[in-house]
Amino acid sequence: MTKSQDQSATEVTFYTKAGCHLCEEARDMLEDIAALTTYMLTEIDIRSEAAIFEKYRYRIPVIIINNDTIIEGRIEFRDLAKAFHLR
Amino acid sequence: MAIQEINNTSPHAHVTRRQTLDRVMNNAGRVIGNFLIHYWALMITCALGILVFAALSVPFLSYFGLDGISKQIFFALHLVCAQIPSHSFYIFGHQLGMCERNFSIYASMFIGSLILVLSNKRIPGIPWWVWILMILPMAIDGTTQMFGLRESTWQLRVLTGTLFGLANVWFALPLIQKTILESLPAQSLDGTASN
Repeated sequence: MTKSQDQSATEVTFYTKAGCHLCEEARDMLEDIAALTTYMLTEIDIRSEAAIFEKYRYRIPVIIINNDTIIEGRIEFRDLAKAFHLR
Repeated sequence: MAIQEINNTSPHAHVTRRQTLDRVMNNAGRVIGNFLIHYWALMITCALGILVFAALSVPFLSYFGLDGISKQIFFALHLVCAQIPSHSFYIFGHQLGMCERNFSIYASMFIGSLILVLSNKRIPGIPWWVWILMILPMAIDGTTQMFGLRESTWQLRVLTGTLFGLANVWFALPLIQKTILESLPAQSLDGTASN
């Protein structure tokens, strides 16, 4: 899902899995963030690759912003907004 | 007509009605009081059992495709637990409704209070210093992890949480029972002791 075609847009990688309640909550927050700023979202189902599954199975939801800021687990909106430099 | 209505609400009728109301209220109070005296521990056990069962049901409901119910229970349980994924147990790949430490606390409190109920509330309580000794490991494990001094393990969370839960029920519940028995009049005490 691409939110913006802007070259300088924030890159967001979202590791998730079906049936993960915290992931659904994190996705809602990302949608709220999308109303405030533009970003390019890459959503990855951790079951798509064994290595990714092993790495993130007990951590999801994991959101990586511009390959440096990692937010995971029970994500608070204020932390996510801060990571997007919105607060 | 007007005179008749006045006669119907005479002071005597008011007194009779009030006496009836008093009697009903007294009886209701006695019934509720007796119920609470006899079943307070069972009610606590049921409440704890519901919490534990709810936490366990979350991954099973997700596994069987009942995500809508599972999600509601999961987020309701956030009232009593932070639900940190890396600190939680997983069944069928789905996170339990509570983290390892809280699940251990509530499960041990449930089992501890169930044992107390099954023993007819006859288990003697632990002294306060044993209670302190039993809750101290979780206090140390939890605070050192919270301040980033070290990272706990699931084994430590379960062990310290279980000690904490058992200490609480075996200190507080027998104390409540002792206080109830001491505050009851002699005739009620005989009835309670037999239950």
